[in-house]
Amino acid sequence: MGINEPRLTQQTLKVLGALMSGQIRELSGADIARTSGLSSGTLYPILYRLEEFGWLDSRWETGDPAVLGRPRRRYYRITGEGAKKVQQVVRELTPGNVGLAWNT
Amino acid sequence: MEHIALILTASAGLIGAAFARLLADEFKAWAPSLISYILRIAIRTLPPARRERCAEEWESHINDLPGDLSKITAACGKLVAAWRIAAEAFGLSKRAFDLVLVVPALLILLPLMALTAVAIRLDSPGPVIFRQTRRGLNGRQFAILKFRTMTVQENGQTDAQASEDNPRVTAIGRLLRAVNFDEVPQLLNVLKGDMSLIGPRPHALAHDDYFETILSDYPFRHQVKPGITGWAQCNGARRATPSERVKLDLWYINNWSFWLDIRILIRTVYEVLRKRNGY
Repeated sequence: MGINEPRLTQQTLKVLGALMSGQIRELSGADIARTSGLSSGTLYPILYRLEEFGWLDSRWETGDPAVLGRPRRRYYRITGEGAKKVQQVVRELTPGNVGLAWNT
Repeated sequence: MEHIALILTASAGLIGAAFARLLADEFKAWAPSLISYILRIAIRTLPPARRERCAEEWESHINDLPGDLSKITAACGKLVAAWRIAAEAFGLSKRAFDLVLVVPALLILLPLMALTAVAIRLDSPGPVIFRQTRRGLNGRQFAILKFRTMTVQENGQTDAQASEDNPRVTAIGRLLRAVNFDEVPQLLNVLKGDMSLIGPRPHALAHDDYFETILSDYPFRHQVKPGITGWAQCNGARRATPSERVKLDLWYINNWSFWLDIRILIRTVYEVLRKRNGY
């Protein structure tokens, strides 16, 4: 793997998995922490790294914090680039892949 | 007799419950300020460019959690996150800074280094370069490089701190030490990535072991790459006690910035020119 790609650790895959499964495609840090079961200490460095590499995209929740009565959430979603990379890795890792290679 | 025991038990229970209630109330009142305090420290730990965004994002994350206990746990998690993000930024920009300075410095100094090598060879028998094992980033060992300034000893090395009137110091060695030129081969250590230009000085292994037994903060020095010069060196390290020096090293690790490195570098050049911190 080149130096221009994030390392796909178990935790990184959990973060990506949380963003790719389920109906809602945009999740806040708190949502991802809940679905992935990762602690903030692990989650945020991964989120920022994935965003720097262009695998994730993020935006502020629309609305004025004064009106909301609480600080704004930051929502993350996976980019086309990120989804493509993940699919590529998943294909490489799927056991079925190996089976096919054996059969042919 | 039984009545008294019953009454005692009951009243103890009541007092216990009241006390627990008091503690719970106290905790409820205290938790929000504790959470914002932890979060403030976390934000301060981050590189300045990240602070504004993380402050709002992390505050909203904690705001979305139910219950004070989970909020406190999450706030501590943010502290860990900030530490890791800062360490990552520290490593990357520091490496770039090192390379930008070391490559031209080596090219400029190469003729002088070659001349020094010849002089050492002619002056006394033995190798040009003196290597010694030191502990680097995360305690990993590496060979530090220096120009040899002493005659070679048959029965191994001693750990004695260099003193100015050591009879083993060669003529060339005395000159090299006076202008700190014996440390120049460490530019190669920086190029290789074992060391940084700026960082806590790596000590001899025996000294590391000794300091670790007497100073509990000492191992924190190994969280960053050791340097050719450091914050302790431009604050009169030779006169300071070991524990004062470790304090200065820790201050550097916690307060590192690009400008701090530049300041240390300028200060070191100034000190070397004044020939004050000769080894």
